[in-house]
Amino acid sequence: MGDVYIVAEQLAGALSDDTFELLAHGKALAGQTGGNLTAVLLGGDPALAGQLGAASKVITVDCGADFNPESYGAALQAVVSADSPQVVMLSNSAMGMDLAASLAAQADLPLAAYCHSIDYAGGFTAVSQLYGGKLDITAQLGDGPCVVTMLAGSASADAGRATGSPPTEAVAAPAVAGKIRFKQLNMPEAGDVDITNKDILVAIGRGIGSKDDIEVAEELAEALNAAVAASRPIIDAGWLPGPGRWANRGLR
Amino acid sequence: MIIVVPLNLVPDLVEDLEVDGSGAALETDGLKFKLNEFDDHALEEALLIKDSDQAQVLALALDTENIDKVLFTALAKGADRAVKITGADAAASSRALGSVFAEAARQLDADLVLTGVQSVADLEGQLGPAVAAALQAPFIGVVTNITVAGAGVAVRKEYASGITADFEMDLPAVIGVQAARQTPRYAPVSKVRQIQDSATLEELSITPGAGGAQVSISAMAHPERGEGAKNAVGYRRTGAGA
Repeated sequence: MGDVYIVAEQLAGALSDDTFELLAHGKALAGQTGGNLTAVLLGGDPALAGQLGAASKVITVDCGADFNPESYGAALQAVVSADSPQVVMLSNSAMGMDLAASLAAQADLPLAAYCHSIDYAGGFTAVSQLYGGKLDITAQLGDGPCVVTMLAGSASADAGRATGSPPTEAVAAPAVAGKIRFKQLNMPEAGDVDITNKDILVAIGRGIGSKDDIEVAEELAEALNAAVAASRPIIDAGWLPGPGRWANRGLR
Repeated sequence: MIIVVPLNLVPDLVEDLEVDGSGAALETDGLKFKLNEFDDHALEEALLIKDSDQAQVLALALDTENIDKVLFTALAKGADRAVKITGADAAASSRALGSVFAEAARQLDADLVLTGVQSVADLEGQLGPAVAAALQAPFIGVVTNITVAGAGVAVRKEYASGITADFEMDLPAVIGVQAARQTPRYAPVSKVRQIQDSATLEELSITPGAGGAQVSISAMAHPERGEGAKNAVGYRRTGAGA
């Protein structure tokens, strides 16, 4: 007990920024619990462990090169039930949400989702951002074990970056029924604007009204040497080519 | 194929949300509710599967105020049956409601349960994985496309940065829908009224199981505001009204 586990996230051969944010959160939290920080690297290339130097230990599980909620979920559950960490931290991402809520429900652990901070003082207190960001909810999770998912951007990824060779432990992947089969990864089509490379963005949403009105935003963007970014409804309506123009990086 | 779609009401964020006297709960006085937007997408995706593969779509909701209109609207859009679940507390957490919807899905012989990927209120995690855990069924969330593939379904899951992944799943399965392939269809008020006069809502009584691990809310507050956006230097309104 006392240990803080973070679940590293890899996609297409690289660790996500969220992973380093989790390491930054985890390092601070382990300082409060007095435990060790362990990173769990599910699937992918075990050599990625070399980038997880902020952790004092890395557990690798060979549960397949590509994310699969069934095999990755079973692997995480096996690690958690064997080690019983005091807290398991995941990113509130497309992968983290699947894993966290499934782990919490199956292992019957308390879970707080959409958190931007977590502290420990005899019990875990997390602050969750709900109702479209209109309210901060302070949630009491007890003394653990518990599960939290952290919002992207809630910690500095750089604070979690450290090279080094933490000791690694390879854990065998548990057998699964194979009810979910990964088929393929689809990379976005290149060619459209990369909004992350622009200093200025002209962002539009539903309020723009109609497809024809986007011209106004495009003229402004051109005058500012900017790019037009948009919220999801604009992309889904096909008014702008997506998903390169999609302005919010997270899901919420 | 029987597709069950749980429809949940969430606070309407167009209204200002207030915290009640306890400091740890929403002020319910004057609170307006609306259908969770993602649940509407889940229903649309179910109806699209029905259009192409002859599925039966069952709209499911907990018995609360104003829920009849939501269920009649689902029927007007093309759902085959609408079922109201009695005996469960609609204000319970997504975790607790997971077992309620799972039991309903079991009794209704669901092959597929489509939930909205998330809601603005699901502090204790998304509904889909909780339903899947109780059903011991596979789950994939953040899905934008579902098609029938052999004896199962093929789904597309979204990651960040425009990357997606394709999977196949055996049935029964639970899927968290991020967005339907098309904007959710609209049911004209006249059609909803017409359905309301001719159709009946079924009822299903479910006794919730033990609560399970829970978190408690000790405070609720409006986030501290930053300085906000500033007008660009030299910005000046021109034209009419300037």
